Amino acid sequence: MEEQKPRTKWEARIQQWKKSWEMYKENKIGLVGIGLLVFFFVFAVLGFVMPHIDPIYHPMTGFDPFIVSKSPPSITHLLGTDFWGRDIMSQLMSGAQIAFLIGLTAAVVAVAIGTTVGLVSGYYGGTTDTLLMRTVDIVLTLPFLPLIIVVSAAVGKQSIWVLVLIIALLSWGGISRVIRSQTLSLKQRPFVEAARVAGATDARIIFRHIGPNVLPLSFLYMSFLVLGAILTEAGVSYLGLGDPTRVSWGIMLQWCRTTGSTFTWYWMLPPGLCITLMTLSFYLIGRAVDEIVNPRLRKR
Amino acid sequence: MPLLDVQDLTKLFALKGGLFQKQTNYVHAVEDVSFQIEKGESFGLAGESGCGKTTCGKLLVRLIDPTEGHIYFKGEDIAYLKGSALKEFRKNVQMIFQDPYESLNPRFSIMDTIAEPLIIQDIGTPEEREELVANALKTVDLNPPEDFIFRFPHELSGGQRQRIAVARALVINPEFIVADEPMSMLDVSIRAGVMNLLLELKERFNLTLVFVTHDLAVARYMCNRVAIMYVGKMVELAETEELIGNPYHPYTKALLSAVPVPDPKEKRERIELRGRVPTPINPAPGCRFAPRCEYAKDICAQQDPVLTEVESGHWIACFQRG
Repeated sequence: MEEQKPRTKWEARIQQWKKSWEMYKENKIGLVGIGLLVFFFVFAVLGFVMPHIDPIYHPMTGFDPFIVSKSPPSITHLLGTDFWGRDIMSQLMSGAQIAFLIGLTAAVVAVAIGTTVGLVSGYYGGTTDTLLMRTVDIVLTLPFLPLIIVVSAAVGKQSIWVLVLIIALLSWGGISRVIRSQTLSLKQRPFVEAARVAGATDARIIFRHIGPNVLPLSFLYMSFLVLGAILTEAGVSYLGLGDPTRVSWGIMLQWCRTTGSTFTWYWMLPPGLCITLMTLSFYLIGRAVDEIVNPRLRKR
Repeated sequence: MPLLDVQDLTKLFALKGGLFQKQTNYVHAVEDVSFQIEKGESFGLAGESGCGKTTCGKLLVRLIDPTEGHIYFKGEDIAYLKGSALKEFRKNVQMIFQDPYESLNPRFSIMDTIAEPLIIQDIGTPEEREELVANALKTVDLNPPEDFIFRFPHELSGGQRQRIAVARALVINPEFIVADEPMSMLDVSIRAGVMNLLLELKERFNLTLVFVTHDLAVARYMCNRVAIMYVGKMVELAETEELIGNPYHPYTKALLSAVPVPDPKEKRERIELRGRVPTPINPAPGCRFAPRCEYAKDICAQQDPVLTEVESGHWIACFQRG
């Protein structure tokens, strides 16, 4: 198969992306992950549309006037309603939005911090390295729950942005270790020496030469961080430390528990399943990316 | 005035060890090396693994900082330049590395790789740079340039990659190029092509070439003059043919006797050295070669032999004087 020779920079880029996608496509598990992710994405987008069709589908304020208590699945409420007569399906959609919001923002912030710290620490070494890595030690050992309780109390209100910030600030440690070790090996490679002979500055070497070479690894860890952030938010909300002004899957579970409906299957099961499937989707994607980033894992 | 005048160049690597990382030992990678290189010359640095030839090459392009000594480039001492003066000096030098699979950034397209020195030195507009890159590709016989310019290193063969590395080195018109065993990772079948290309380009652009190699046959083909190094010291320096035809230093003789001769009938004396290469960590005083030398006298273990001219253009560091 003789492929076309790229004539411009962008053609070359697109060809590279196509090749990566070809490689990813080989992995059935990864395709399942992408499928699940697309499903949840559509689900989350639908969540914005539903309240405009009928206000009773608003996850927070959509109290159905004809229903006074929790009700099993029906034609108007496909998954039934909660204790206050609100549509569970709409709440699930809202939960998907929150999951994406928290998962992606926390992961992006954590990856940005972790990658930068890892690059700088690995590249400069010496005292810089020691200082940054001891900071990482502290970050890695900070206990999560006590911290979130203290911060929530200090801030005075429970907001998902506080949650995102805390998750991000507590989860970049692992990434920076991995990126640092990768940087240690990359900075010894001759193409870095070649850049230095040409007169490249440290910043250029770090961000143009080493950075792009560790990026696939950052991306891989990002998918696992998204997973972690979603689970953390669910856990914290379940304990009642979440943001009560937004409906997330964890908050749904908490409402379910506090109203004594733990065994109401149509209320308890859907948010639990959603959390499982969405984290599973990111886990599967992460594994598929792992096989591309670490060729040793590839099946022959 | 020689293009490069190297005076007593020394590089010690500190080995940290022990409790509290106290500096205890030094690797004497290059010690008191002096030589001159004329404009347009092809100068070989030869020796076995670990003799300091690559370190010496890297010192010349200021990839690593010397511990002591001076490097005069066109009369100016560049050994301790910093900041913008160093960047200015870098316009004059380039390096070609041993392994073309490692010396090209896998995430850079060929365009990015070759244009990098131009971008760093802020030469030309993007359009002019593309023109210069295309020309550089043509000079290294990668035709037509459009077929290569937006490719990535993994799509090319070893020989093509090394040509890319040469193109990158040439694109800013350097005065001299240090080539660190550029053939050793290539197939024998394509070595000759790259060697001839380098020689041809050297003539065409009046380049000065410092050629680091362990292969005396390659050095003979490529270089006007060759210097032999042993454990950080320069032991012999002469015109290539003179060095190979009339070696003085016992180490050079042993090295030359190990080069295979393509004639199974030819009988020749093979000098086998006793013992092993000594460690360059805190070496003992005296001639580095003395413990393995069959002519060693008492003085050899006490004093360092100095590189002296025994015949016109033929320098050796040995008390035996040939």
